[in-house]
Amino acid sequence: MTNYIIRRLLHMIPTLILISMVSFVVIQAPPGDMLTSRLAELAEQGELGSESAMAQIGALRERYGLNDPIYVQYIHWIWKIVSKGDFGQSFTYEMDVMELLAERLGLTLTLTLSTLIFTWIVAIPIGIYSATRQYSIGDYGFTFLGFIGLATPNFLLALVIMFIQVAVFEAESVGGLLSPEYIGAAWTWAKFIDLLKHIWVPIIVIGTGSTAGIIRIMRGNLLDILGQQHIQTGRAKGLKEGKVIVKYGVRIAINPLVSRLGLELPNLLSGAVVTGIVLGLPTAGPIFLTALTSQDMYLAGAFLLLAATFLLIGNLLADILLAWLDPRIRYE
Amino acid sequence: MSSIVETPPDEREETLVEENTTTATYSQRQLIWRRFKKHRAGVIGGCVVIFLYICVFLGEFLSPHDPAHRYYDYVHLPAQRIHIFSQDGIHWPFVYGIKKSFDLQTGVKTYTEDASVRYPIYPFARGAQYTFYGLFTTDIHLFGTGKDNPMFLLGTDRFGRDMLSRIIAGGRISLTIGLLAVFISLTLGSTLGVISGYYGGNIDNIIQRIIELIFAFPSIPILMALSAILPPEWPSHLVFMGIVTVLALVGWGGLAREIRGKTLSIRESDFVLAARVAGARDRRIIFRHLLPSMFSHIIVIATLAIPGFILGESTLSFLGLGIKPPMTSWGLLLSDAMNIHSLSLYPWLLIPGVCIIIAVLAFNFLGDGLRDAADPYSSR
Amino acid sequence: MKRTYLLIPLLLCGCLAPDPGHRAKTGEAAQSNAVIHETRAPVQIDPKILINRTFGEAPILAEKVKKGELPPVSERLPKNPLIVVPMDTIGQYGGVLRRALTGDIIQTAGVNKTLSENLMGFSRPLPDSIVHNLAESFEFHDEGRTAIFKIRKGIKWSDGVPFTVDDILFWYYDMTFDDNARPHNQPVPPSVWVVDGKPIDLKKIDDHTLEVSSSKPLGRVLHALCLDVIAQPKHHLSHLHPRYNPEATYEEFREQATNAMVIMKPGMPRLSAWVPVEWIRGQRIVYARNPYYWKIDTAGNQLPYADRIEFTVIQDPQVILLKFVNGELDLFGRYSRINMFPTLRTEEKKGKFKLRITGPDRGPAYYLNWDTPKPALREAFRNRDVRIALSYAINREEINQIVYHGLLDPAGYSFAPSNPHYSEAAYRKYAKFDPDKSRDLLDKAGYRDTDGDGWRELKDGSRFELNIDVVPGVGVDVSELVSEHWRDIGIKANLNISLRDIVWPRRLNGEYDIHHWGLEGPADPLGRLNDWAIMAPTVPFWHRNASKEGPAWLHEATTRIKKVLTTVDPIAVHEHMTKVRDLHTDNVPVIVVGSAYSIWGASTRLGNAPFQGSAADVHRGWGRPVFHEQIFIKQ
Repeated sequence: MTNYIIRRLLHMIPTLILISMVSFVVIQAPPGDMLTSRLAELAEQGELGSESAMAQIGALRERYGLNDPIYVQYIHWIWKIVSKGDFGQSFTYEMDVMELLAERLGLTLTLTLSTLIFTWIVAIPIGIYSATRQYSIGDYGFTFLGFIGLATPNFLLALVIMFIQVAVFEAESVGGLLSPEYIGAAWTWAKFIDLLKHIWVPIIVIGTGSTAGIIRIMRGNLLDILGQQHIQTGRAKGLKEGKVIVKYGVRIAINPLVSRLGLELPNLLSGAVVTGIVLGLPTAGPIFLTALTSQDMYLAGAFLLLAATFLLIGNLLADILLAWLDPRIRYE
Repeated sequence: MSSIVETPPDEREETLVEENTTTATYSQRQLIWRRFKKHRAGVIGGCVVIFLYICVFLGEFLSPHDPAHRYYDYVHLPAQRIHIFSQDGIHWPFVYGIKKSFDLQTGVKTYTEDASVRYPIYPFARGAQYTFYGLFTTDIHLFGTGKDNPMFLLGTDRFGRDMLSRIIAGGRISLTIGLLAVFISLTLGSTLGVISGYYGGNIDNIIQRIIELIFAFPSIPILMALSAILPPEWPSHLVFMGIVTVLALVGWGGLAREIRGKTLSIRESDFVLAARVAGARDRRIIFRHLLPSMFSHIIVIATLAIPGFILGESTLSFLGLGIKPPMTSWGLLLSDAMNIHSLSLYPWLLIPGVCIIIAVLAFNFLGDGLRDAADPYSSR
Repeated sequence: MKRTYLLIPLLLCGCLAPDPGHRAKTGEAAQSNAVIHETRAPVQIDPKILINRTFGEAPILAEKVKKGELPPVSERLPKNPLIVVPMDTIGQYGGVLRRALTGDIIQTAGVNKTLSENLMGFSRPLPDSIVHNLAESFEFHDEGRTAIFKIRKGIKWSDGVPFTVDDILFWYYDMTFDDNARPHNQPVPPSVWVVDGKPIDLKKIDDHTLEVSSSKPLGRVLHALCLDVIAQPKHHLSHLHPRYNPEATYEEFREQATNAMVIMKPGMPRLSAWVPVEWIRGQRIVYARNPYYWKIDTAGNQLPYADRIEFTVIQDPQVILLKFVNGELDLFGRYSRINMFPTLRTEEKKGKFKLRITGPDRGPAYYLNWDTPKPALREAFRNRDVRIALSYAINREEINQIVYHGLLDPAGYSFAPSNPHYSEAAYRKYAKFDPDKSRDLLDKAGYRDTDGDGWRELKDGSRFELNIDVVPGVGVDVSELVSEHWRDIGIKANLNISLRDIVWPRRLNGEYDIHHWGLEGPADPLGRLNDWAIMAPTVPFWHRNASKEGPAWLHEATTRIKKVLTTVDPIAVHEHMTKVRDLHTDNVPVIVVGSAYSIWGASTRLGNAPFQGSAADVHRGWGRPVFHEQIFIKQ
């Protein structure tokens, strides 16, 4: 097992290098750079493109090495990251990229993982229900609902839910993850409750997309397994139906879901980005969009790089989990 | 068949077997079709998909108005109702005229039906002129109330443009993007997937690394980053092609992986071995044997991939990184409606969202049905 | 010397006051709102309060005084506190004002416009005149080449350290005019402080007396002193500055003293009504009352009324709107857009807030590029008849109805009604909708459709076609209509919709045909000099070659503007500015659609929220006129 993990980790290194290159190139590719945008901002404030402003901007461009060839810039960038963990400065936010991203990525991951747990909690019982009551109204109903969730764009659902909260329920606080008074406060029971009051909206919005898939897989797998011999044997031995299903059916049927985790995570993360933008969550999504449109390249690059790294690690964890759950799997 | 003599023995045997059994069985394709017909949701999905593509193909003929024409007298008009009855009795289906009043206090325009004017809806009515795919120019529309007479069955937008016509125009882009993107990513994905699976070794390794790289990025963020590269001064048709390319670039990995898996499983099967023994070259084996034998799977994979592309496009357009006006797509139409005033005052602007949901649902059901039919033993 | 020029300050203030006639001229929709409240609060303070120094203070401060954590209010307030007449009534202490920003650092201006204090200030809620603020008096000498400002004695920073002229000089010489120390998001010192390429001279006479002098009369010094900042806490920042602390580095100083840091970092001493106490990057900034704030109401109570003001960061203006409508925010104006008007009006009925309409000023404008890279188009743009034709072709009333919900005042290129040199006739010139006249003008100017394709041709035979650069938003809607109007007179107008970061560099480098933006500074062109005169070789941006190829009228306008900047004679100012106005208006260098009203709202739980105001940027936008320190939360 340890060997397997080490081999997997070593395997990740070339992928990571490629990821960092792609991130950097993609972020560098748009025309202009963040100083063009700084210039625009300045000019808008009335300090209009006077010659001296242009000259200053030119000097800054030199200082940040923006006139260097792209591979030189890449090496500078990646060297700082590897040697000092320094992801550079965000130009729009005037602060350390890592400092800026740390908390937001944390929240993004929290949201993603909560959604993952939520979808499983919802989808697995439904999958079991659908499998044990195949072709019932409930089975059809859940399948259809799941599909609707799959088909609805995240941003649409987010805005509609938020609007309904205000227009129909006159909710106390809409959008965000916390009421303003709890932002930055120490964690208390009240703050946790407040978080729960807000976080269900993004969880539902992000989760709807993948719930349908999990329901379908769970239902299919369980149906297959329930038809197999060992289940029949169990039944014949007079075991209770509930025990048969849970102990011999569900346990095995869940394994393929674990292996799908690796596919699920990127979807959830994507969903978290879009939903964050629409609901104005303090997650990484909104600043990533800003970073892209204002060419804040170190910020956008760091986000892409970190998101990809997380996914790699997530995949690895899912594989380890699967290997641990299912003794039939060998670590080759 | 005079050529029997020249046929190599094993191949002849194969032909013989087939000939002997045709009376009892169906061809692979017929089998799939039979199984598919039993899948009710799949059939319905298929019908909806066909209907949608017919609609967007007929486009201008079907839409009662020019989607870009602004009727300034009917800004933000709610969907009109089609009537048959009036106080005078039964008529040919018609819509009433519209009376407008503008409330200076609220800035809200209110419209009421003007019962004194009736506009009957005639088939093949004359309306705005258009050129049908550059073939001919006409002003005949499937139905209408005559040029510039009001008939806005799904309401109008902030410039008084007919929503129905705009939804048809937007659907053409959204659905075409789905098809084009799937076509490109299929070409890429199936070629690389088959090569990867067939040759194995280093080639497989390299291709798998590339796919892994694509999978390493969460799709929406990398889509956002890639579409931010498209030069802003590009006209909308180039942006359209750019978006298609970006979607396909991000999307081909999954297809390639599935096809590789399939290739691995049939690489060692008898007919491939037979071809190899017979001295067929790799290229011939890949294109004449492997790919055709996987055709049904490829179709299934493609069908199930299209909804992802449609949703991806709509998200990009919503974030302002997608299609650019004057072209329009469902995502772009929806992004216009993604504000509080549309939700509260002009809810009919959300209909493009319903269209996205319907299209995605239909493709999913169709794909499901096809998969069940093509591969009844797959574990779903 | 003194006796001659003592009068001038008063006159100067007077010259800002507009003629009263035009104030009442607002749109129908606005009129219902323009109820001018007579305040119910005493208009003058009882002199005994000032003599005995029996000031009121907030309960939370009184408690701190009791505990000995804070000196008594009589010692905290300056000798001569600034007296504010509340908008409606004497308020109650306590509560939190809740606002939203779309970002923290990137929206520094939003906080600044709400909180900054300067030596002088515009009167509020309407910027009719310039009034005293930190300074209690000023006088001009030497024909206006020198000005002496007296600062209120005993004003303290929020940490209790006295505020002196040294703080001003620190900001001026050690931050603003020190190329090493100026934050890198501010590459050049503000142009208002530069005369003939040299900084205006600031000198300390004593702790509370500042001398400002220059080689030319200081025509704009009062305006300059109404803008954002004039001082930074030297006692707090100087240890970071290499000039005062050899161990400090400029790099560190630049990072610690950015525009954002000095107003958002908790612990930073401020002169504003509230001071930062909590800043969660990208999420929230909380300001608590400044115990040393130096303003009182007419009952002798120390301001501000509200205990705190909180800015929550919400990136999407639609979500801000939703939260405001839902009663989660108290004030909404910085991000209000005209297309939110119907929603706000509908939601207003629920009684959670009241909507305000102010203006009109600064509406959509089309800046023709007089130096566009296309020679034939350049030639056309430099033809006055073509420009007049473009102006006549726009159906402004249609734009008003469809895009602005009746809140656009159709007008041409001139000074806005809130400008003291405004004229109705000039304001409406060339703003009629008359497409026939447009066609006629173009025909006569030789721009005809010679090849019969429906589009006019330029002088070189190519199609009269132009691209309008526009940033997503309401401007796109306006531009769609305008481009249609122009197509109707045979000019093919296309839209180039791009983000600001794409459009602005094009504007700065002169790479566009037509640039859509809000008209810059119609309320006070002198605050946007670079848009109205040839102040530098590449200015104004719409005619970058003006210094070489500019028309005679623009040179004349420039000469007159330069005279205005260096005179303190209000009569001469008026004479020059009237002429400048007419030169611009008659030559329509920029095609204007009209002046737009701004909409904003205040929660009904607020007292003393003004009903009028100015949203003009030159008067510190919408933030300052709202007058936050005298707003209170009804209990």
